[in-house]
Amino acid sequence: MQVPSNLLLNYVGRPSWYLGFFTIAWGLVSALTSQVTNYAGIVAARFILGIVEAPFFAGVLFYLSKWYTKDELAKRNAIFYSGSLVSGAFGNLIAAGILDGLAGEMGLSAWQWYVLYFYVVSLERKGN
Amino acid sequence: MAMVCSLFLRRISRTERKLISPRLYIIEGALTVFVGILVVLILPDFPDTWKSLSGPEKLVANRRLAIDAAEADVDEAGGMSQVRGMKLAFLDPKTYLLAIAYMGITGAAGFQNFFPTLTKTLGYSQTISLLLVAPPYVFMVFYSFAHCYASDYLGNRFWFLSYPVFVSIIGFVVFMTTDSFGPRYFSFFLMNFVFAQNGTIYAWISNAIPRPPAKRAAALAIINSIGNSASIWTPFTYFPSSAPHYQPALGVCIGLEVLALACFVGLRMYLQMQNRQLELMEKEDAVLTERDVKKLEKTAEIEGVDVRKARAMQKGYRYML
Repeated sequence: MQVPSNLLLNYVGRPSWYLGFFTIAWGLVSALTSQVTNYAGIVAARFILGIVEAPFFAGVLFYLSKWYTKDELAKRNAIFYSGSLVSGAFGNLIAAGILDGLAGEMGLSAWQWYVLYFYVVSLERKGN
Repeated sequence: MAMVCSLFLRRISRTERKLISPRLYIIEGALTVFVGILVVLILPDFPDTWKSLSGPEKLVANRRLAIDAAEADVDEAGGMSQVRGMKLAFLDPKTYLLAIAYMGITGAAGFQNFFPTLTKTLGYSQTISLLLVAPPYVFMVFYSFAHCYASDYLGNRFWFLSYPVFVSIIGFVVFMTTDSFGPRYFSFFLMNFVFAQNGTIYAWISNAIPRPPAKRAAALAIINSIGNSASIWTPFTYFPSSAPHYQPALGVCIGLEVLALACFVGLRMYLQMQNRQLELMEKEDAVLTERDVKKLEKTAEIEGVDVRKARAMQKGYRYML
């Protein structure tokens, strides 16, 4: 999935639209996943999420390599990857805060909130 | 932000939470979409396609990249050059060395899922336990900046990918063999050196497989996909029965880091060989094919030099080790 996506990004040459569109789709699919009520639905939602998040990580790595020369690139990649480290640092904390208080709210059970939480903020977690 | 959220949720009463929770959900959902919209509106396109660049700016941005790899960062016209780039990426042994190395790094990073379990054993409240997860990561955010800054400054990737292997292995061994909290908590700082490798290896991919851009795009995608596949199976090695030392799983982590190290050594040797070939070819003036000549003309145009100068720069090119 990522290979044709990255080639398309390279070919079209419009990362603002390409990465932006998939980020928006990611957010929407994530939020809607909380409305799923059965196993088949989760599988389907996860599949669609996979499709919309595939372009992101490899796309950003390529994007950075389009702008930065070789002795500038590791720094920029480190800054990009630090987003993932920050979510590793605080992700569990936010999840706990949400799970603690939200079970049963709005007709969603704890696991649904959990799914909702992880998919909604999945942007932070990127490719991992 | 995380801490603020957590404290916020703790301080408000349950009834208030009823009001705040849909709001929190809406805020978070909207945030991702908002970021996406921002990307559409303000993210610059590529140096050769961004319309907001003025003429001279465009020239500089493209020239930097052309000089960097002694070749313009553009594909030949037509969609077929993308397919060709993909083929080139699949046929290059460097792609596989980097893919296996990255798989080792991602696989070895699996320990992070079990970090909260460790901090819980201290018996503090849940919030404190989860707060204790943060310091090794926050440390690594700053450390990885310094690490990658030095890697760029010294123009070296190999050593900057290799020394974290040893630091992280010390961390794994400490975690596997000690029982008191202090050393085990400290071992997470050492294990986290795995993450210092990420920014460096992403850069090495682009340095080792620089042109044409279609090949680089495909290689980044292939390596990222193969690499991430490790996180499908590594969680299963953390057998609950092997708690609290998780020796089988961390043994696998050590093995994966050693595997990655072997790939770094292999890639370094391969690039050294390619550099020697470049050196040899410099001495004899190889006959250029028509395609090479076209490429050279394009490069010369973007670099803002004549064809002979571009050829000379091409000859001086070496891969970063």
